[in-house]
Amino acid sequence: MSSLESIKVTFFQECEDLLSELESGLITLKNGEDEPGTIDAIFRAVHSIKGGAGAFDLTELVNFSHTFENVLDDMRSDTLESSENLLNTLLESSDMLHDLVYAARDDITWDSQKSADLLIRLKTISSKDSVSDSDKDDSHDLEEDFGFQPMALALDLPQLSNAGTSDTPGFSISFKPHSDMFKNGHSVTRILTHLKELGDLETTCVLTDLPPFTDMHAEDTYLAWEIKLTSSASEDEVKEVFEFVIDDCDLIIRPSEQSNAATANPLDAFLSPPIGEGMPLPSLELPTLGPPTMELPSNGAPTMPMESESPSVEKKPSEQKPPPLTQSAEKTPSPSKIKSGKTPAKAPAVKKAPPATIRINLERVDRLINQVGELVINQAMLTQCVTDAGLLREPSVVSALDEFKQLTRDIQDSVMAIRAQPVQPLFQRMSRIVREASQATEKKVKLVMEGEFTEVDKTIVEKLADPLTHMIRNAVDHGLETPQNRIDNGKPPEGTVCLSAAHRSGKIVIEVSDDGAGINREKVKSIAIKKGLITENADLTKSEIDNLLFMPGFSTVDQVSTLSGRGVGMDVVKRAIAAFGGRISITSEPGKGSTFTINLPLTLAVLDGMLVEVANQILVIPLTSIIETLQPKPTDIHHVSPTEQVINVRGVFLPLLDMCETLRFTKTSTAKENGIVLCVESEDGIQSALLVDAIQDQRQVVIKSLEDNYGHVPFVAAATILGDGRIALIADIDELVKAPSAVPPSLSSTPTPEAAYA
Amino acid sequence: MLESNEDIMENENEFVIFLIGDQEYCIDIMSLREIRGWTSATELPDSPKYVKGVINLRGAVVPIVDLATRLGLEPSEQTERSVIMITHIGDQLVGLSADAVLDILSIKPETIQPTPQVSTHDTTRFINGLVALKDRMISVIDLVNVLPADIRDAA
Repeated sequence: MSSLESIKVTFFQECEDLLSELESGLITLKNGEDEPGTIDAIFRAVHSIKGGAGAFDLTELVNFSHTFENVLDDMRSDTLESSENLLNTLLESSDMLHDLVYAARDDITWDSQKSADLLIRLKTISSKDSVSDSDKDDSHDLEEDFGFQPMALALDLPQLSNAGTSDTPGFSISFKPHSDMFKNGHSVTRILTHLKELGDLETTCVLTDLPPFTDMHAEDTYLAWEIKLTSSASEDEVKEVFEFVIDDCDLIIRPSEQSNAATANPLDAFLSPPIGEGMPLPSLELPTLGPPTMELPSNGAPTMPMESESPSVEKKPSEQKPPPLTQSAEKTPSPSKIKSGKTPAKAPAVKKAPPATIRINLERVDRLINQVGELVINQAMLTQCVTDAGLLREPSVVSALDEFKQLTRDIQDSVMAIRAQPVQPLFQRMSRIVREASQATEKKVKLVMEGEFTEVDKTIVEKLADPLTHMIRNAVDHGLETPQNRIDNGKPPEGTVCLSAAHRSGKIVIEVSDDGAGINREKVKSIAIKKGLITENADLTKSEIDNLLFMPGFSTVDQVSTLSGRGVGMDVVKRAIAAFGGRISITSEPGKGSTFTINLPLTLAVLDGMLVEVANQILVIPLTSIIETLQPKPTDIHHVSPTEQVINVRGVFLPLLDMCETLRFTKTSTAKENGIVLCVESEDGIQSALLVDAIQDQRQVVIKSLEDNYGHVPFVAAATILGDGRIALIADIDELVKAPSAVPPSLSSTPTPEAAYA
Repeated sequence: MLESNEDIMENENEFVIFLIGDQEYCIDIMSLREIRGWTSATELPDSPKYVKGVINLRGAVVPIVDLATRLGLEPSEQTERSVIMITHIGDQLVGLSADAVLDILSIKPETIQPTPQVSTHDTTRFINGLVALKDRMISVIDLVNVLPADIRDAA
């Protein structure tokens, strides 16, 4: 049981990949970038989900994906013209499939009502199901059978065909050599001779492609052969004859006296399993496979000019298939066995095949990262030892040491890259949010994604999902105007939401922007006044008003969202992002739209920090919370009580915390006047000034938990290991500013987040 | 430095004996992960006096408890023989400082005597029992109680 469970887990993991492949394929189609193979990739994704689902008896999932697959199959075979309407339905279906997969994964009973409507629509579209209102039980049985299809897929084609051909006394073979075949030294005569050894041979040379003599090129091939072989040999044996030329010719081998589609066509057998002999269910009628042949990439042989004009793989055969001359070929319209160098299903994958991946337990990766971190420290220590031993004058030692250092760094980079993941899957999920939100609000929305291949630490990608969902919904719901409003304002009726990701100076920047109305600052301000967040006569800059949206009290009442432009739960978003070391800011221009910018650390395991010295200890202050550093004049520091002091920073008084006293380190003699003051801001916007002895360095540090082996330490967020192997503590700014002497946030001094990064 | 006891009998547990001041103490060898030379620890703010700070153990941050201070003895000077014993306490790794490691000893559990209530002094909280060895007396350290109470709860 447990092993089945673990296979199931793998299945759902794969489903995630398949679903994202499906969705990205559909979006490609929707954007009109029809690449050959896209539809095949989509079809394959749905098909694989169906196959796996069958194996686990997930009936609902099989049902739905089967119908979905039928529509896709129609598109694939060009019996169904793609249209925007169709693609929207398909996208909707892909969302539904997504839900079904997740419901199955989480063992939630699926309410079939939810998908019933869509299922019917899909069935109407699909030609295969046009006849089908076959009663439910029947289709049910059909789906159950599908469960075992993966097995059929796994079988080798030859074996399948064996089953069909074992009792057939002959084959009809269509054979068209490419010029490459001759270049590689093969000859038709030899092949025919070999064939003859298998049985009686009846060959017809097809001359239809033969151009006028004047247009003929000496090195091109124009001839094809229709061969009727009467033999008791197996298809494999026949194929063996062509083994060496299979890539250099168009070859179709079919058993000549079998016309029953269900048994003679193994390819169809995978698409729709036979249910009862000779009783083709609607889905068994094979209009989709259309021509009995499938094509076979022909390496662009010059003899086949049509190929370049027919991008669809499936289309080709009908166009280029030599007219069947022999009787037997005509008598067997049943789709038949095809063979070529590549199977049609595989061909599209060559296009944009994602690199192979494996799944690794995150714990192992973390352990590796840990160990490599140690290696780096060890390397630094070794360098120190060598230096101390006075060996640095030995050129060989120096160069070996340098190489070692380089290698260590490379290993560290590679290991860190393991955790990184493109944000693409996350972004793709957002396209669904946009679709749903635009449906709910009846606004037309286009989602533009940029930089979806930007790599971000996996944990961050996961944690970003909720805040991003929220922001995207906000952008559609509150950011964009109604189509009518947009037209009135001279904008295209379709609004645009742009989601972008980029690396910028060691950080990940994710932006959500819309081309809507922007923030209505008057309303935001009046709401803030009404809610007592600011005083009536507060003089706020534009960006200060915008930042009111992030204030905790701002969003708690529903009315706000209907009155103002934005603000539903933005404080929640801000807190969620702050929780993993990111910051969010907002810019907005009336009439032109708003942009939310999220700044994130590259990885959760690493933090940009300023190394400061306090009482001979090194302390790390997260760079994101530092606003500025300054060297105070004695006159700037004022005592408000014997223990509390404030510092005057350009006219604003900030509480001054002596780090040494706050952390109760043993006092050193450094006078306050000789210290350095860091102005910091907590995530809640509370500002404070920290007095430290000196600034040492600014660097990325690897975050180590203190809580694993110890516990929470006041004012300390975590620890890190310095280059010399010593441990330094990372200050918890949020906790520090809440230390007794810190003052509550003062809006008049709240800097814009932009200023914080200056 | 370590003289291992040759014949380990069944039903005997091995204990590591170490020195703090002039007193001998021991812990079960199974809870000991490794013994390291003394490394200076990074001070933790607002922590109990007996928590010396944290050290880097191959990438893990490990707190160091100064046993002498914890047991209410005179804080000892760091010498060349000073060691840090890295121990498993529950799921946590904790370093215990000692002046020197003396020996490994096989002790039958039944020979461990309960700590007599000699005083109301705190020290007895950290001692699980006593082992008499000729004219020596070795106290068995109660590892769990050595940790600060709030940290222990977190474990």
